[in-house]
Amino acid sequence: MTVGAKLVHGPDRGEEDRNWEMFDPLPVGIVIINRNYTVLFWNQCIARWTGIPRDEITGHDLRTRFTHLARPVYTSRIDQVFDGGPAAVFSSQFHPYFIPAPLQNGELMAEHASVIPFDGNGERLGMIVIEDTNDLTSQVRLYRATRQLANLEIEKRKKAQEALHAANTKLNLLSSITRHDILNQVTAISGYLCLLDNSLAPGSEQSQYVHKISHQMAVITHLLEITRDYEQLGISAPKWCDVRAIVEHSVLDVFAGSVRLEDQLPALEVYADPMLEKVIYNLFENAKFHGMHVTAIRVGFSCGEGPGILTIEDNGVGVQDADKTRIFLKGVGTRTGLGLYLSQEILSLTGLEIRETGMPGKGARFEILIPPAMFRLRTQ
Amino acid sequence: MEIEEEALDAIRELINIGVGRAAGMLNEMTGCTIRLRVPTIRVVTIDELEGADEIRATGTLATVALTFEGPLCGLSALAFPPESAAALVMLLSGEPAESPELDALRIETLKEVGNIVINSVMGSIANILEHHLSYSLPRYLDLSVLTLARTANPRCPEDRVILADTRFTIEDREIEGSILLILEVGSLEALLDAIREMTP
Repeated sequence: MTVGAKLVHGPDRGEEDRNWEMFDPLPVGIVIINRNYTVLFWNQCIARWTGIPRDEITGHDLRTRFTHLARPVYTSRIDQVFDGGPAAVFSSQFHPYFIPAPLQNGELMAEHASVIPFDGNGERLGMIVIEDTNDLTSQVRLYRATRQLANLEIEKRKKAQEALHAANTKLNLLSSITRHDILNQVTAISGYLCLLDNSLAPGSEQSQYVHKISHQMAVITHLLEITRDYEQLGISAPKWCDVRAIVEHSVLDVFAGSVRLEDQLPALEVYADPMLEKVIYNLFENAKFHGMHVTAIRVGFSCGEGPGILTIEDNGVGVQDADKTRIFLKGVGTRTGLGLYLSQEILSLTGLEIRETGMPGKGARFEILIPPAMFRLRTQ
Repeated sequence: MEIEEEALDAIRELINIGVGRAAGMLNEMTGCTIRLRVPTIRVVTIDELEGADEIRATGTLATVALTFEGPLCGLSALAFPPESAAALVMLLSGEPAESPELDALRIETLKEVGNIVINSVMGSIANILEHHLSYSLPRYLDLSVLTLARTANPRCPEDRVILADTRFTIEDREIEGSILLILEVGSLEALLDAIREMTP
């Protein structure tokens, strides 16, 4: 709206007054003043808000009734409007009670005020429009308080996370030192066992016990190595992992070129713990140690409506039906019984699942189920 | 259109008088020590705005604007990068700077600050024209300066823009904004004529 244009017309003030009454039904306070701040019109809304009837204030200086309006911070800007300037706006931040309006709870209503110039029959008048911003103010303050609480909670969690990280680092250090010391002791015991075995008659009952102890020592060593491999579990943040790069690297590491890799993968990236590499490596190790006669590894990926499925198959002896679920339990397996259990734990960190679906006798087939948000296909 | 240095100086002075008065009002209103200055001023076409160093022409800015009609026609605006606008409002209102975003209350406050600055600048300019202008109510807009300028008068890309780099210094913190006066064809000439008439 361009102001400065005539809002009202009429030969005398009486007709103007009648026209101004059209502002009575508006849900905003309307006060019309002249440049002496004399109130010419006071609508019903502002009368209701302030409790001051129209007759009581019309014809009086607004500054006498509301003395704060006589301060230069108001008058300099309102005078500017009467001197030909644009409308002046008074925000609820700096002037929440331009024309104080008490609420039922004893507080004052928050207001936004505008002083808009207009031509009243050749005289420049000012229309003060008062808007109730109580709800807005309350809502924004509530929102700010909620956000502040949320920020405090985030800060608290961040500190707890940092404390956990620090504790974890110390525990890892402790376990690393302990592991190192135990391995030293294990090496010493293994050396003494070797000396003892040399002093015994080969095949004697005592020698057989020594061999059994040596085997158990080897299992202890392997278990300690596993704790080293997996101590980083969940420590690093998940990231997008390039599956082909992991597969190629792991196959080469485990089989050293002794199997054929049938790579049917698209350019797949999976959002997972960085130890995904260890999971895939472990599957190939299992194929090598348990598959008996594995000569080929096939890796593929399919996706449709549900989760994407990463498949890793071999042509070994496969997994018996009775073992398909058991192999993922802790303590099950012919070696440490931790490999597939831990693999499952690593994958679950970002919602991935693993299952075995191969045909016994024809090869093992592991399927890793990846929720849609956790994989992406790069354009090649 | 070439603008002589003296005329540009006079425009700079008019704007400085306006922002000086605005700073006084803001000081009184907020109780903060506020300095407002306009270190540079340029006159460009709307198309040249895009390359102007003083302003992020294509990025969204928090803008308070009003249009005016009379001997001069156009649009007057005070524009800030959104984070600067929020910082300015928080400094003026004494709010803790925990959440630098413009919510409805801060927008309302920014509108008042923009209103004070624009009114004072327009008051300075209107004084030398010796004619009243008619103004729209101030509006808050989230848009780029280029969009603002092209919306103001889409038919005339040759309209002139007086672009005044504006610095608010509040409690040792400096906040950059821009005052823009987008003048329709003929309005800049009218302003320059008024300035020449005033010059002894």
